[in-house]
Amino acid sequence: MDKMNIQSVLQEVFQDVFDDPSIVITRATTASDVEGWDSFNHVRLIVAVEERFKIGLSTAEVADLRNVGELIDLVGSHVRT
Amino acid sequence: MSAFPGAQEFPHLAAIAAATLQAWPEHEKFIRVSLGNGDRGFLSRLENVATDVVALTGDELDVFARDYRWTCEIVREEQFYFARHKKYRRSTLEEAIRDVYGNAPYMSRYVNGLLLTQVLWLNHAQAMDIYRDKFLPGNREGYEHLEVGPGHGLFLVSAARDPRCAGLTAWDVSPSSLESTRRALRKMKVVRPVAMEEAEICSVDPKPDAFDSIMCSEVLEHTEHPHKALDNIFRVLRPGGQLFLNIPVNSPAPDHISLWRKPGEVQSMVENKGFVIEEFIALPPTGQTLQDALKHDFDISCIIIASKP
Repeated sequence: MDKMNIQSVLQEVFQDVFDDPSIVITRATTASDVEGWDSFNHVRLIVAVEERFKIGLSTAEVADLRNVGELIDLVGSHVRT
Repeated sequence: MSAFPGAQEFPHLAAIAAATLQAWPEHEKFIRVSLGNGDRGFLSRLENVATDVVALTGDELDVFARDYRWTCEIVREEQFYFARHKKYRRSTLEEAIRDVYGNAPYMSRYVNGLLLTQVLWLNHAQAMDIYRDKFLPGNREGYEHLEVGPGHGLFLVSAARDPRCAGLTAWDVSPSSLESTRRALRKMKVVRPVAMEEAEICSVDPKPDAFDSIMCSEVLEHTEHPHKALDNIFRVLRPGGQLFLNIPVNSPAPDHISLWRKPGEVQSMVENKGFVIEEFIALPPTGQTLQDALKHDFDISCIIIASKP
């Protein structure tokens, strides 16, 4: 799966987790840009990403994500392997 | 810029917030939500708690702040586990002793971190507020008070300072934990006697009707047999006496082994033991509404004030 496809699927995950079909993500999107993206919903988001892409992410990997671009790259590194 | 609006009026809260942000700059948004709710009466009372916390940390507030960050991170690990598996990682006391209680350096950091949650996590701060502002004043004059699992001593010190309280007892399964509470009370300048008794709440064979007031906060989720613990609490509470309970549902932590999934389960359990629930307050975690916490199975602190008929 290429990164544009990952971003497209991730957008659906974001819309579902934050219950907002109008959310549009870019690589520059951060937690400050998405209402409700706090530490509790971050756990929900990551677990939803794991389920959607059928991957496992470690807490260390997801702790320092600064924006959606880094999440796309992280998912990409797991999906390829 | 201050850590939260009005910080200059609450110097101990501000000191704790500043030390925490020094250790964990990314926690700024959380602290602004937690301490920035604008209720000055609540913040004034929380400042009193913060004063006690600073007395306990002494000149090591920076160490406690780093341990708070570490504690939040290990709780986060458990939140991920809970979200993936829909259960707590550990379910027996043996596992908790093996991984947590038996590891002295781990426990030291964990207990330090939990102390600061009493101020920085809104549900913990609100629980303390209800205990100090509502539960204790509701006790009868000259009440005999028992606290089960006194830990950091912040709850026990409030009863110790209450001139209407005639006697104080604390039970804990761990002698080292009791010693730690003793030290905490000394740091908070408590001079009156407190009976510190080694007792395991699930298996103790207590004298019935011994106390007018019982406090048991965030203890039952650490036990394998919470029903037995509640039976014993019911037994030692005098008729007409009142109980303060704080039982968290969906609250993953390294040493939480008994899981309740809905506030209603907690309510039924307490009522089925014979208590009459006078107040039931469900507190969502910092930044969440109760509706969302229920919907997404987030941590909810169930605060119960109950009486024995």
